[in-house]
Amino acid sequence: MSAPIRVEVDGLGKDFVGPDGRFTAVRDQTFAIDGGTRIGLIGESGSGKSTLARMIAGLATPTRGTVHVDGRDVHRLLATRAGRTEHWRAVQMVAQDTTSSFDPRRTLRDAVATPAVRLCGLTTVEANRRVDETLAFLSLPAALADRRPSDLSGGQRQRFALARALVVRPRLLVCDEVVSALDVSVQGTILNLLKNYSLEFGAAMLFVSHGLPATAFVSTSLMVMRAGAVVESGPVESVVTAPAHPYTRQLIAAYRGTPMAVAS
Amino acid sequence: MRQNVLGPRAVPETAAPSPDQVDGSVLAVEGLRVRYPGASAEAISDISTVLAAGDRVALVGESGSGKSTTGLAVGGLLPRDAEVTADRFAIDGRPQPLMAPGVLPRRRPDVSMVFQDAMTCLDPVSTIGTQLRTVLRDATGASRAEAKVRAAEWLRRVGLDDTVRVLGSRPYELSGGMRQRVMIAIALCSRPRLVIADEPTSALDASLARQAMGLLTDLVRESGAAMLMISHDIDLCAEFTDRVLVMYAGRIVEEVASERLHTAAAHPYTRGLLASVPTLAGAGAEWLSAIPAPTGESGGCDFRARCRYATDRCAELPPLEAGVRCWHTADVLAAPGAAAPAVPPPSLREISLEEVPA
Repeated sequence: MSAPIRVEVDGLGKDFVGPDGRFTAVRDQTFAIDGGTRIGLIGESGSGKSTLARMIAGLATPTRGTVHVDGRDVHRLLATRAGRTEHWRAVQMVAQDTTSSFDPRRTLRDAVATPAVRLCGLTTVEANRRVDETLAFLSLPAALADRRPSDLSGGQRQRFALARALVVRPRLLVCDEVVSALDVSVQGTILNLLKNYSLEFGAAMLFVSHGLPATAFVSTSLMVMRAGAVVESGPVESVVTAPAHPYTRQLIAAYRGTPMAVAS
Repeated sequence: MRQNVLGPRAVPETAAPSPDQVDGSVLAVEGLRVRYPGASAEAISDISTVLAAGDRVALVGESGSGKSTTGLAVGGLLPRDAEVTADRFAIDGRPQPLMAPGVLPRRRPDVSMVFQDAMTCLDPVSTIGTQLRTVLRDATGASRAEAKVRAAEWLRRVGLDDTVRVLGSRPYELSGGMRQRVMIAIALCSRPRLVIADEPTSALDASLARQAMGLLTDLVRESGAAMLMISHDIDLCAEFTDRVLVMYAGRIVEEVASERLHTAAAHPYTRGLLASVPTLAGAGAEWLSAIPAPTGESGGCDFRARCRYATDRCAELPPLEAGVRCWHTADVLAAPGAAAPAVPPPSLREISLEEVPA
C-alpha cells in the first residue's frame, strides 16, 4: 500500500446561480482528512453535504477555495490527462444513483475493468483477475458481470458501483448515500466491507449520509452540516454523547426515539 | 366461496348483508393473491388480515417482499394486467370487486393512499389549492365555496399555517416535508375509512419522519379510520402502529404486537431485521450484524437459504401458527441474538477466488 493520503480543504465554497439569484450551497469550509480516518458527513437534504463531497472528489468545480491532495491542487491536477490519471488513481467516488452512473450499453465487467487498466496500468489479464477479486469481496457472482446495468436490481448495481471504485484500490473513497437505497438487512454487510477496506488498506473515507447510526458505525469522526456549513465536528463518540450544536442534539434525539420540535 | 375476478362496480353496492357487515371490520382480506404477467411466482400469496376501525397495522419487509403490492391490491391500484384473486375481500363490510385484467385502476372511494414520493404523486402543473379542492368536492360533495374554506382548514391541520401561499403554490415550490404534509391532507380530507401509507416518510430525514408519522397517526386516530402502514423501517413501524405483519417473499411470516416486537418476535427473519437496524448504541461495535444476501432459491420456506436454523424440514412450507411461519420457533426464542450475528467481512487482500458465489 502506498503512503496514506492527506487531503487539505481550504476555504472551499460553491454558489449556484438560480432563478432567484445566487445561492450559496457550501460556505467557505476548511478542514483536513488524513490517511486512515473515516469522516462521516451528515446533514439534512439541501445542507450542502453532497456538493462539498463532490468538490473534494474533484467532480464539482469550487467557486472559492482549494482542495489539495498530497500537497497538489486537485482542480489544477484535473486540467491535464496525466493529472487526471494520478487523481482518480487516488480518489474514487460512489454516488447514490447507480442507474445514471453506468453506461447502459457496456457490460459491467467492462465498466469495472476499465479503471483498473486506465488508471492502474494493469494488463487485461491482471485487470480481470483484480475485477474477480473485487467482485468476490463484495459477494457478487462473477456471472453477473457479463450483464448490462439494466439487468440488475438496484442493490446489485450499487455493489457494482462500489466494485468499480474499489478495483483501483483508492486511498480516499468518497461515498454519497451508498446504502440509503438498500434494504437494512444487507446494509450491514456493505458497511462492514467498506470499513474493512479502509482498515486493511489504510484508506481514508468521506462517508456522506443522512442516516446517523450507520454513519457513526463506519466513521472515526463526524462532521455535521447545516445550511452549507459544518456546524459541529469531532470524534464519533464525543459528537454522539455530548453534541454541542442544537441541530446535532435534535438529530440524536430523533434516533433515540424522543422527537423534539424542529426549530425552523 | 371464491370471489370472481370482476371489473370495478360489477358488484352492486347494495348487495345482501354479508358476514363482513356483522363483524364491523374496515378491511377484511383472506387468501389474497397477486400474480404479475410473465412472472413465474406470485408476488403475494395467501395474505389474510382484518383491520377494525382505529386499528393501525404495519407491513414490513425488504424490497420485493410484496408489501407494496399488498397495499396497491387493497387500494385497487395494481397495474391493469395483474391477476388478483381472494377468498374474501371487503372494505367496511362491503365485498370489493377485484380488478379484472385490462381494466384501468380506479381509486376505491373509502380508501386513501399516501406514497413516498410526493413530488411524483402530486400534479406538477396544478396548484395545491386546486388539487385539495378537487378531492374535497369529489369525495365529500362540498360546494366550490365550502371546498375553498375546508382546503385552508386542512392545511392548518397538517401544520401548514401559511395557507394562502401554500394553496397558490405548485408542488415544486414546496420543500419535501411540506409536500408530504400536503399529501397527508389530500389523503385524509376525503374522510377515508382506511388509509394506506406506503413508505410515507422514507424521503424525509429522521426527525422530520417522526413528525410526519406523528401527524399522520393523530389525524387517522381523530377520524376513526384504520391505517395500513407499509415500510422497510421496522422500528418506525413499531412506534406508530399496534400490530406488525412481517412479509417475506410474498407471504406473511410473522404477526406480532408492536409493543412486543423486540421481545416476542420468533421468526429468524424478523429477528434478523431487528438485529440489522443500525443503532447509536451499537455504533461502537466492531462489525454490524446482517442477514446473508438473498439467493433466489424457493420452494418450502422461502427464507431457508438465508437462515441459520434451516434443516431438511424447511423444504416444506411451514404454516402460520400462533403468528409465526417457521419450524424452529422454539430454537429462535431460546437464543434470539443468533439469528443475525455480526460476522467479520472477508479480507480484500486475501480474497480467495474459490469463494466466488456461483
